[in-house]
Parts: sequence; structure tokens; C-alpha cells
Amino acid sequence: MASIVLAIVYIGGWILSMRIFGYFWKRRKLAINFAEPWFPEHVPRNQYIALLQQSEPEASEVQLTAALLRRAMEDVVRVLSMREDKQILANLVKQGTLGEDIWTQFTLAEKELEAEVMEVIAEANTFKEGWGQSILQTASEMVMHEKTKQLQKEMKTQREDETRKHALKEKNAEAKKEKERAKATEELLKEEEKEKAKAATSSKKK
Amino acid sequence: MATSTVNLSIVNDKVVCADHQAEVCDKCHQSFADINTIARHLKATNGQLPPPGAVLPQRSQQIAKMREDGNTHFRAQRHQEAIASYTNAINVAFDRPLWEPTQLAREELAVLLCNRSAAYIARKEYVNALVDADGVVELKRPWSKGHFRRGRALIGLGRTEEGIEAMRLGLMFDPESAEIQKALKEVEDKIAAEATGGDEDK
Repeated sequence: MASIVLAIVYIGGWILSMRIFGYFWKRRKLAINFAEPWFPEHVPRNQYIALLQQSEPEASEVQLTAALLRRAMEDVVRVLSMREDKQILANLVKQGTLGEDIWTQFTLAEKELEAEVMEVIAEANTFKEGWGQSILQTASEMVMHEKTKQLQKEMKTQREDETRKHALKEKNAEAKKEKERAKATEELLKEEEKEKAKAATSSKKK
Repeated sequence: MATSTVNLSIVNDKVVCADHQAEVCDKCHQSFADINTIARHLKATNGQLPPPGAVLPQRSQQIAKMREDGNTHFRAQRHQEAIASYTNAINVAFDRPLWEPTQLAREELAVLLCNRSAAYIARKEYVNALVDADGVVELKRPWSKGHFRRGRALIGLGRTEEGIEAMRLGLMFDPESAEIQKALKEVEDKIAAEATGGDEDK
């Protein structure tokens, strides 16, 4: 009798512990799936798709071309950033500094990006046969060119900063001069007073 | 991946957000300005995207002409007019279509900014001169002229030490540069004269 109870308790214990393990395992898996995507939302892609679906008035071909170029530019930025991260990430995962789940996430994002790039190339070919071959090259030139254009904004803020700094410096210099001048006049007055006092005492002596 | 829908409409041939009719909308967190700029540039080529590396000659000619105007004014000591010409040219150069070669735009802008910086120095507007010279250095670091202008502007602003440093950096890129050597010597002589002058006062 006692041995049957013992066996049931033993088996029951096993089942319970497996259930607990399973519960946590599942939660962990879910956590991986809900993890943040590698890249934020692909805004230019959404804009392009919205523009395609636009009616009354329909988007002109020029506007669609522009939106597709923007989308390709974002893809180029993403491809470059993934290429840069890949080696570092692989090393970190190999060393065990980072978990396998990050690597899974990364490869998933890579595949997604590959599909996105293929889609852009296919879209480009619907505009003009053969454009798909050069759209990415054009887009990467555009990414570089855009960095140069940022200089215009940078220069504007720098101009404001420097003007403010310079004005402040001038003001300080002016204030300093003013102070020195006040001090000098004060000293002069004191000196005069002393002279007067001296003159007074000497006249008294006489 | 979650895709949020974008609400847009087209008003006056421009892509804008549907709710506020704005090109750049803070409320919708959307900006269509980039698309509209490229579309504007594409219209100039009749919607035909040029192959990679191709450049429309008109813009380059326009910029070159404005630069020449600026140079003529500068040589005739009409610095204000020179600055105006250079500024126009710079604005046109910054508005180059994005697909045109970056290297070309950088070269062009570096020369224009360098010339405008010189004109600003001539008018003793050292803050503007410094900002332009900084731009030149950013665009074309190995070009000693940018460092030379930067040095002149800094010295003009009274930041003599920084100015000397900038000129020395320029000399590293081009040790033969006569104008930097001359300017450096002038400044150093001046400092030396001031130092000895100060001693005599004591």
C-alpha cells in the first residue's frame, strides 16, 4: 500500500515539475517573439504604399518615383547598418556575451530586409524595364549626398551659436571696460580728496 | 512587422497629410517634404531618372556663372556684391538633385564657401567667415585653403591661439603654402612684439 502511494507521489511530482518547466519555457519563447523588431517601422515604405493606393487625385508618376527612391534609400541605410553589425554580433554570440535569441532575431531581420530589397527592385522594373538594376546604386549615392546636404542645416545652427557667443563676449568685454573706467574715476576722486585734505591741513598749519 | 497606415492626400501637386494638409506634420509624425523635393527635381528631367553618375549641365553652368560674377566683384573690392553672388551660387549648389554625384557637390560647395569666407574676412565679418571656413574644412579636409581661412577668421575674432593652431594644421596638409606661412609669421611676430612691448612697460 505504502509503496503505491509513494509511486503516485513520485510520478505526480515529476509531472508537476515538468508542467512548471513547460510554463516558463513557453513564456520565454513568447518573449522572444514579442521582442522589439530590429529596425523601427519602415516609414518610407508605408508612404510609398499609401501613395500607390491614393485616388482622387491619383499620385503622378513623378511622385511615385520619388517615393520609391526614398524607400530604396532607407533600404540602403538598413543594409549598410546590418553589414556593419553582423561581424560584431557574430563574435559576441560566439563568446556567449549575447544570447542566441538575438542572433535569431538578427537573421530574421536580415531575411525580411532581403525580401524588402527584392520587392523594391521588382517595383522599380514596373516603372521602367531595367531600372531595378540601378535603383540601389542611385539610392546609395543619394544617401551620401543627403549627408552633404545636412551641412546646410549645421551651418545655420552654428552661425546662430557663434553669433550669440561672439555677442556675449563683446558684451563682457564692454562690461569689463566699463568697470575699469568706473574704478579709475573712483580712484581719481579719492586722490583728489586726499589732495584736498592735505591742502586743508597744510593751510591750517600755516 | 506592424504597419501603420499613412493617411495622405495630394493638394496642388504636392503630397501632404490627409488630416492637416501639411507637408511636414508633427501631429501625424509624417514628413512628405523629402518626396516632394525629389519629385520637383524629377520634373526638371521630365520624370526620367538619369543613370547613376549623370549630371544635368545647366545647374553646373549656372553655378559657375554666379561664381565668376562673385569673383569679379571680389577683385573689384565690391565685397558685399561678391557675398550676394556667392550666396546665390551656394543655395543653388545645395539644391542639387540628390541622385547627382556627391563628390561633385562637395567640390563645388567647398570652393564657393571658401570664396565667400574670403569676402566675409575682407568685410571683417569674422563670425560668418568662421562658419563658412568650418564648412570648407568639413567638405574638403585636405585642402589647406579652408584651414587658412579658418585661421584668419579666428584671429579676427580674437581667438589667436585657435587661429594659429588651425593654420598649423593647414600647413601639415600643404607645407609649401606661401600664404599660410606668411600669415603665421605675421601673427607670431605680432605676438612676439606684444610680449616684448609688455615687458618694457614693466
